[in-house]
Amino acid sequence: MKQNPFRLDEGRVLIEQLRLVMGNLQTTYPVLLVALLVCLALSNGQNEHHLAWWFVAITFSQLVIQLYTRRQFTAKIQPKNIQKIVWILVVLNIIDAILWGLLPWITLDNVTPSGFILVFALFAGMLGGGSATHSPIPWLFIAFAVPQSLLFSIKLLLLEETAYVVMSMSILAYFLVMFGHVMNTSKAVRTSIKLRFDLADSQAKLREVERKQTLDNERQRLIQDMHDGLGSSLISALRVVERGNMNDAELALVIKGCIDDLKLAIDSMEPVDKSLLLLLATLRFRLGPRLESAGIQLTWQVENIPTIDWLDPKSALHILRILQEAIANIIKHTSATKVTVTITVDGHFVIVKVQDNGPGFDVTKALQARGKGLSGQKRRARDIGAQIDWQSTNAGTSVSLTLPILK
Amino acid sequence: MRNTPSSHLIRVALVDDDLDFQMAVTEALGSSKDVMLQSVASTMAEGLAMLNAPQVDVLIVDLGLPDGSGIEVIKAAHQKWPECNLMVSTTFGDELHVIQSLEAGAAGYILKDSDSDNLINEIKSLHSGGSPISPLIARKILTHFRNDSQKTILHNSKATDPTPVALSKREQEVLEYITKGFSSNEIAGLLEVSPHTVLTFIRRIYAKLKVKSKTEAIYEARNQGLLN
Repeated sequence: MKQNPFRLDEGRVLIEQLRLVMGNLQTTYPVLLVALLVCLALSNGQNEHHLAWWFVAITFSQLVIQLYTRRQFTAKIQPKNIQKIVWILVVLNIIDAILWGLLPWITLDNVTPSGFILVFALFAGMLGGGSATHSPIPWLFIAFAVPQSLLFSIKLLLLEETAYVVMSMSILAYFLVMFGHVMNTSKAVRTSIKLRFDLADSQAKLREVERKQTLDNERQRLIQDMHDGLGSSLISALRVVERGNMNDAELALVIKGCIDDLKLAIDSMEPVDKSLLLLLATLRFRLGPRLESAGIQLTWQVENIPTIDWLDPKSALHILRILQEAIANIIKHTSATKVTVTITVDGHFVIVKVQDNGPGFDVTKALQARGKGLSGQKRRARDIGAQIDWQSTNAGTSVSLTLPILK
Repeated sequence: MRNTPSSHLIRVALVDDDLDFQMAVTEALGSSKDVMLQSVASTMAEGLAMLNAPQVDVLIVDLGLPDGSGIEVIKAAHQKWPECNLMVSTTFGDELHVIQSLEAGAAGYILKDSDSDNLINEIKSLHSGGSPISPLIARKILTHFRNDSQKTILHNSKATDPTPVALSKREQEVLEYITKGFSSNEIAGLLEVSPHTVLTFIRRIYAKLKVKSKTEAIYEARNQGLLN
């Protein structure tokens, strides 16, 4: 990706860059102490007046930068203001840099060689520190380094001595090296910030896709269920009513079945936390009153069973429907007086067994019979990778649903 | 227990705009000797006005009234009929509606498609101390309180936290059995207590849920600067 390093980045990346610079700037207070020590060391009869004013000016400039930075750092930066803030910092840096660049002009004419070295070392320190502080945003480094370097090297050139001219050139070379370093660092910083944003963006996108997928699955499941469950119950009720051979009690039974269908669909959407037991408990809570009013006594025998990770709303509804059908068949077609529900673990399987004491029926015949009854239960069981078996004698019938714990 | 002269007769009032349900209740209670329908209202306004009459034993309220929420009637009933048992009538008994009603102070709920025997049984069992609780609601209440105890561990002793309302061990056991599908009578057998005791546990759980939601509401309001 080719990019212009001098172009300021889009708002949110620039904010991160600026926050890095601001964080760095908060540690630059000690520079005032250094300035004070330099003033004391270089001060002599010729320059003390100028140096005093210089120190006041540099302190003031440093404080303005610090206070401005601190205010922006603690406030929440708006992306639309960010460029303005950067340019204000550039201007403040230029002023600060001009002040630092004035130091050689005040002192070089009137200090000893050791004082000279001190000024030179200070300059090197300022340039190095400036590059470390401002490296996330090259413009700030340029604003801080260019005026200083120019002022210092021009002053040296004006001294018209070979050694000074060489020094002047070396200052420019030093600046170029630092500049190269800043450009590289800022590129790395920008790339890592952008990567972070890209990652967050793509994660957000992924989540959105997942959410849509979930919604879509859920919608399809509901439509399917309305179609197979409530819809078909209502239609068969309608047909029977149209034929006119149903009495009120039978009609009430059909409608009760429709309401049960609806309740189970609602239950299947409640989160059961992968707990089959909770799901079956819900079924008992729903269908218990129907058994009771049909005069059937229910025995509930359960043991603790492991959670079932594949138990999503779709498979939950299949399980509920299979067992609802089993219980509805007992109420409708048998004269059973007792029903026992057992839930047990057998190896890698959970077995749900519904037993009644009704007169029983011919399983093979019932499976071949047209209609949705047993074959519907079989289809639902196959859909969730479970197995359903019937055993019927004239002493009763038992339906076993065998569910794998892992899939 | 109440020692009014008519203590064996349960007086019921109904606030519901569903005429068929009104009829079903009227018929069911008409056929019963120990339960009597005292008054019927169809709107929130009528329901609130009804609370000026002497209090009844059980008040059944629908949440979706044409002119407002049944929650308002429940809250008002709490003030005016403090000893009345409040019950919500709901079509599906789904989590959202039930938890909402319990938090408002209802002590139970009744499904609108219950047959007349069931209607009478539910009213009687509510009056005698407890009311049934669905496994899903039980699970919901369990996690509700469990999350809370974890929260208090995390931000320990924060002065502004609501006073923690915790479930007792027995109350937790009852809820856990309910999530496994056992009925109140079976739980009584498993815990070796009387069925009445189990109902009392459930009643207490409902009461704690209400207290908890109230303290949380105050906490929330304080957080948002609505109270100080």
